[in-house]
Amino acid sequence: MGSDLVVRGQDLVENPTPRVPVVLCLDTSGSMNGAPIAELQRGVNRFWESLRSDEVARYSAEVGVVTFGKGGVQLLADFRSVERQPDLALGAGGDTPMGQAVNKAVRILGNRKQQYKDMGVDFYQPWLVLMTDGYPTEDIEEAVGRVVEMVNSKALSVFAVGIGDQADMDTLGRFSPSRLPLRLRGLEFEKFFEWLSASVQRVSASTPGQSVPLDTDGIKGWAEV
Amino acid sequence: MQWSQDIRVFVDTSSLMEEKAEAAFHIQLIPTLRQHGIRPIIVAKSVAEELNRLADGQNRQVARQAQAAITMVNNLVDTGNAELIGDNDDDPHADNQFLTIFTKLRRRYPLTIIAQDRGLVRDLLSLNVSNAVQGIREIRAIRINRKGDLMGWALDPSSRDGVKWYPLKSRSPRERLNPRQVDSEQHIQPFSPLPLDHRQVVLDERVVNIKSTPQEGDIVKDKAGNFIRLVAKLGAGGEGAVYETSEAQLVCKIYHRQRLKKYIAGKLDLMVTRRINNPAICWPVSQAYNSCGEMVGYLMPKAEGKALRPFVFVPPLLQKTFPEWTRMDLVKLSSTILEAIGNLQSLNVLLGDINDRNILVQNESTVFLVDCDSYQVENYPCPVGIAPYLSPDLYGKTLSQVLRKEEDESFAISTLVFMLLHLGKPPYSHEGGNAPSENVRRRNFPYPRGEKGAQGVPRGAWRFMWSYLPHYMKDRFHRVFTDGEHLPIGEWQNMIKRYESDLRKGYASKELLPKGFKAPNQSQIKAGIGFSRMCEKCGGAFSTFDKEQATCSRCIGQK
Repeated sequence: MGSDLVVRGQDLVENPTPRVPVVLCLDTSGSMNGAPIAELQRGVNRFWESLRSDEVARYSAEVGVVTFGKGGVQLLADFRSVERQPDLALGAGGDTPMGQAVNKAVRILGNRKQQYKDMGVDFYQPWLVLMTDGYPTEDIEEAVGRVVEMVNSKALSVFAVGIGDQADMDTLGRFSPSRLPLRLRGLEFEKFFEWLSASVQRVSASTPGQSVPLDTDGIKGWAEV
Repeated sequence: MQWSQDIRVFVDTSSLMEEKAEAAFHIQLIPTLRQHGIRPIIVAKSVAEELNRLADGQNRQVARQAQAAITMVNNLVDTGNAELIGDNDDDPHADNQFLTIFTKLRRRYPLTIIAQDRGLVRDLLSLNVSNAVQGIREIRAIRINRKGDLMGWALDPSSRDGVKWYPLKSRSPRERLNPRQVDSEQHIQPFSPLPLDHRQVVLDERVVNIKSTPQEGDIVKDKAGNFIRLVAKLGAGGEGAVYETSEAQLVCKIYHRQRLKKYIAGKLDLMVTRRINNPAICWPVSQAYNSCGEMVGYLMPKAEGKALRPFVFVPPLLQKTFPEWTRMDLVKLSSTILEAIGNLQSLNVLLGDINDRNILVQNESTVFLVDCDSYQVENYPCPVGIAPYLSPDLYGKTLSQVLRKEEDESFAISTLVFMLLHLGKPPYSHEGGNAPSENVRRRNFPYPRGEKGAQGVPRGAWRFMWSYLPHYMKDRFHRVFTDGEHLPIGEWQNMIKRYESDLRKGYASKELLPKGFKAPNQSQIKAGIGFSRMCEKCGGAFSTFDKEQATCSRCIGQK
């Protein structure tokens, strides 16, 4: 871990590009077993690929991954540039401790933000992508409170995504006060992640004072808003 | 056909109502008038009144044509390509009015009438013959044919109504566009001067409905009527896609379906009136038309190089891309870029959206400025801008509706020069900072100045790069980023030249990525300050007397 810290710090020292931190908070509970987890895995791989292949996003996007389900809440990957991010292996099993996972995601985001500030690296508003196919199995109030406060103070942008018919859209909605949660039609993870990476690229080309133009038409085709 | 600057061009109702009138005006006539600095087309009051009468008339088809003509005239007037002239004494009958005006004005100006009406043309051209007095200027007549091409009229007693038409010579179909042709004889007329304040303008931002958007393999036409094939897609952005073409030197941008706004046609018409002979500027050389004759994009010289971001503005990548580079090359690159921007400014063109993705670098003395269609030209604003280059004075403004000032460009130029010399680090990045735009708004420039020490200089080699800058560069940066001054581009060009000369003479360090501050002088060593260096592990600054020491004591302790 010590050398890992040095590598992550070195990247901040060497690369002056303003960062777009994105934290993926992914449901890997037992119900995701089979096709869903395989599709999610492909989606995440696609995300990596598409960020790495973009000359600008490669140096600006930083992705962290927290999973909830198999093995409880796990920090699968801490923030760093996608170029240096190892490929992930997702597995399904266990409950849906969504609240704890969101807390963890917000915490690592806070740490990374502090590192940016300490190093004097510019950064854009962080993104939290929350994906689940079911209902939380523990209390979420604390996590909801934190996230809502951050969204309201423009310190966080949330994309809440329901997977399949059983996803608890009400809970997802509570985590996303300013944007309606999406329900993925079928298991179109790859398309969602492609859209997400295109949106990340768009952030750093946005005009100050104007909201980032998200291509919402691009979503409508494959998700139910 | 010869054009001189003092010529006056009139248009008759019959030509305004011709089906392809708009194409003829925009593709052929207006570019020619602009190129020769000729006054806008004159629409006589009697012509406008006749159009209004016809638009209200019983004949539906005529009314529709008249309405289309009215829309076109309004558009031409709005874009400064036509003017309505007349007074209450005018003969309400347009033909009589033309005879009166032409008889009077031909003593002063060469006159041209655009008309379809043979009788009117014969009467006006006859003035040349009947009163061939010395000092009287020539009257010429032009018609628009079904394809939207311009034809000349000539008197011919053997023809019907005594006139005949003939193709105009200047429209040779073999005339090829040669974007890199350097013609030093040709003086490029500057565009109208830049505004002195943030003037509001209204652009027609409605989307144009295009019947077909050309794709790879399709044929487009340039304004001279040449067929050009879109060979391969080079890339696509938010606005459109760029294609390699069958013309080796040219690429073609085709706007995305929803991105082609109405005002773009007028803006391109204006831009192509100037052939900018600077190979660094990928200026539009012609509009591109689809098979239906609709304007769908434009042709421009091909650019070859790597975008500043990330290839220069991520130091490890810079060292891979240009392994031989020293600070000398960085300073030369700055000078090359400033020269291109200065060239445009001398023509009253602002880039507006200066940023690190639309400047491509082939080497330190060859660069290409791309995305020129977003530049601010006359009354067409630059509709985009990004942090940290966008002047904070423009934050919160709708960029597509405001004309920028030279000072706005100056902020962007200063930011770019700072970032070039600091390998991509924005001037307002500081410890405890935030989003790029927020940092600009705070205007907290962290680098030391005289007695005032550094406050929150970001970690990394940036502070060392700063410490190696000559004092005159530091001074200019502070005047801009601390005091809020606007330095003209010429000032930056002079400073960069001086820096280049100092580097050549060995007065300044050529190190691209210094690992420490400038070496301490004797008094600093006596005072026990030692060398300041950057820790290779944590990026923090530390002080040492050992020139070889690469990591700070904290990191050594953690091992």
